[in-house]
Amino acid sequence: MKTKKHSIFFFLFLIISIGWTQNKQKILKVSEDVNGGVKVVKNIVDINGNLEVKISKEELLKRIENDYPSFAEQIELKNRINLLNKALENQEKIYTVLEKNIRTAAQDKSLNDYVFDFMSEIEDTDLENRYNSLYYEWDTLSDDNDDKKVGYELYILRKFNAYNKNLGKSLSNHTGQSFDISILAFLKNKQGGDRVHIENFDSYSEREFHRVQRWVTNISPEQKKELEAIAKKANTLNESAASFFDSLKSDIENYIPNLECATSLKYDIKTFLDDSNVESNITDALTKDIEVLQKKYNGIFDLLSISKEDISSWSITRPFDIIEEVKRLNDFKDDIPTLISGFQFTGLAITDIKNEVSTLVDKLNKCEGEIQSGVEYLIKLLETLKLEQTRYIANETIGEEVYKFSFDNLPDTGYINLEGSGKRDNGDGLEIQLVITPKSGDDKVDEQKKRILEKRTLTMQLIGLRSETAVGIIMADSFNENNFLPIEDKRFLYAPSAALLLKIGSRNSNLYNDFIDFGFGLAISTPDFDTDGTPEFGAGLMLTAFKDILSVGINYNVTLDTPYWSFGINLPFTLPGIPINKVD
Amino acid sequence: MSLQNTTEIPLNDDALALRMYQQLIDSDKIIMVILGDSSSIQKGLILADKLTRQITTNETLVVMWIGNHTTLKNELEPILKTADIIQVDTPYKEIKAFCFTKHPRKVNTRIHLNGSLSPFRLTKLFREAIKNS
Repeated sequence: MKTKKHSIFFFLFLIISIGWTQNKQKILKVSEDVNGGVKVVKNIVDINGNLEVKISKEELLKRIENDYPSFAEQIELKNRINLLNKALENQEKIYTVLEKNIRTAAQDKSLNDYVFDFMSEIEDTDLENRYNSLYYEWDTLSDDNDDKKVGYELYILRKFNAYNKNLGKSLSNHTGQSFDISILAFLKNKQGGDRVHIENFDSYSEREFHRVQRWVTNISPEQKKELEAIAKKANTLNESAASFFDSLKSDIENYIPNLECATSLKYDIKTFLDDSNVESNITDALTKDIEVLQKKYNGIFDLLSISKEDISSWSITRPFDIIEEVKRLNDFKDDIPTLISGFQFTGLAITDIKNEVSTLVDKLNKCEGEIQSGVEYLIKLLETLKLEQTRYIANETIGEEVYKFSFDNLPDTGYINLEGSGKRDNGDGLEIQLVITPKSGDDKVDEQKKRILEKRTLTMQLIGLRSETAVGIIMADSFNENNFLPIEDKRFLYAPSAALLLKIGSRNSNLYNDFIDFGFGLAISTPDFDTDGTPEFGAGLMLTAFKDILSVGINYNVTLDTPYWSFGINLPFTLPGIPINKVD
Repeated sequence: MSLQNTTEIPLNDDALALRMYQQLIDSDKIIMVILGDSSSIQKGLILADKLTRQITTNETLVVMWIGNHTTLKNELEPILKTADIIQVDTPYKEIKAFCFTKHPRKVNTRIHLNGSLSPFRLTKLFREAIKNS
């Protein structure tokens, strides 16, 4: 039993160790300038930061050899040539000094240094074995041989030089697969994404300069508008809870006004069919036509509802799916005019119900017109999305602006200035891709065969202290009610509230940044405890959590001279019957 | 075997061994020390002796051969410890060869018992000692 336990622990340890080791062997190392120093980034970077992307050529070579052996031969040859070129860097100087019979102390020192450097370059490579072989080759030559007379070190250097030239010839005659290496960076956000410029790796211009402000002290125009809307809503809420639900319902109904005709058309068709005159004169063909139309309008109603519902929440997920939905809706509605014409043609042929048919056709045409304009409006709205989608897809290709490198001229480091990457928000992603692209016979890059060697996805976040403003609705409960007349049977009153919060962005935890996200600060609110229609002024301290969804505050109503506590639940979505929504 | 630039340290006369060692140390020569008496070491010794004449340098290169790890241990071990060549995982008995610079005498690297006394390694040891002299 004990052995079993130990085995489980051992395997767990092994798995973790392997995972750790693999995690260590990354080709791309991303670092960030932090307080004058450089800090290796795990997953989170400062949203206004300067990044360094370093490439480990050693790991890159290993990965290529392992994943794409057909490319490795070329690298092997290039590597060897590079190594030899570096080792033989001072060969001319060595020849000059070696050939002298008498050397000064300085010349002798230089010679020793050059030879030592050469040896250090080839140490622990297979060229070290070649050196030994060449020594023994030289040693076996007879003393009369001219090569023997030059000394073994000169002999070995000459042989290495000849070998290097042969390698160069082999490389130029190399027929194996060649490739390019590039690095791409993308900004990933709710709207899709955009390219991010990497100095040394592409010629993209930087996007608009945008610094995400650390100290925000004003509420934005959107927040102001929201605060006004909340104030109105809070008044309504405090007057009557029941009427609030009705007003919310009507808000939703007003949101989709052009669907009313599809609903009323159902009754119009029913009234038409129930008409005694129609009933006694209708033909089977007309019944069939009207049924097809009825089904069509029901379908349109359903599709439009779904699309509108999705659009109202599209910022959360899958924006591009909506385009497909509206496309389906557009196709679906296309044959309505034909169906109406068919119905009209069949109906008007029956003289006794000519008037009833005309009235219904008018209504059908009117509704068709409304649906047509509704769909057109949706299409217009989605054209913007479509543009984003096209840009998003285009972004995935490498593009001519991205430099393509071979293994030997690949820069070691690239630099990203996030402030030059356009508009960003906390939580947006930065994706860095290392790609390898095989070249075709005519030396052109085949983008279809692009392969991602490594992908790093980082989250951008304002690291450290920052301030944020938040508006929302709170439920306020006063501690004593001596100075005013409270509403009977009501403990909590709704009130609009605005807060200036101090928050901390973590460099290590996405869970904290994306979910826990505590905030603490000053809050003001305008409750109406005495319900005289004039809001009072309250100020206090507020603690928020979970992206400001939850808030608790202790406040003082300055107007009525009474303390009160409050809480708020500002969920990031609305539902009929829930009098609260998300704050920004 | 014919060794021209090699001093063989006697293994059964400590006083003589010390005297010969001191004489070499006091000289102005670059000294390679080879320890042990196995056949591979003997081959390496012949090679090192040849290299003293084949390496192109103005310096005088010589070899000191000590056939075991006991003789002159008291003299050599502290020097190798100071040079961080002897460590927990590399005791004195696992050292096969090293090279003294000229005065002040220093040792920079060594060839381990598992290493090879190849032309490359021996040349590099000599070249390194010349560089640091």
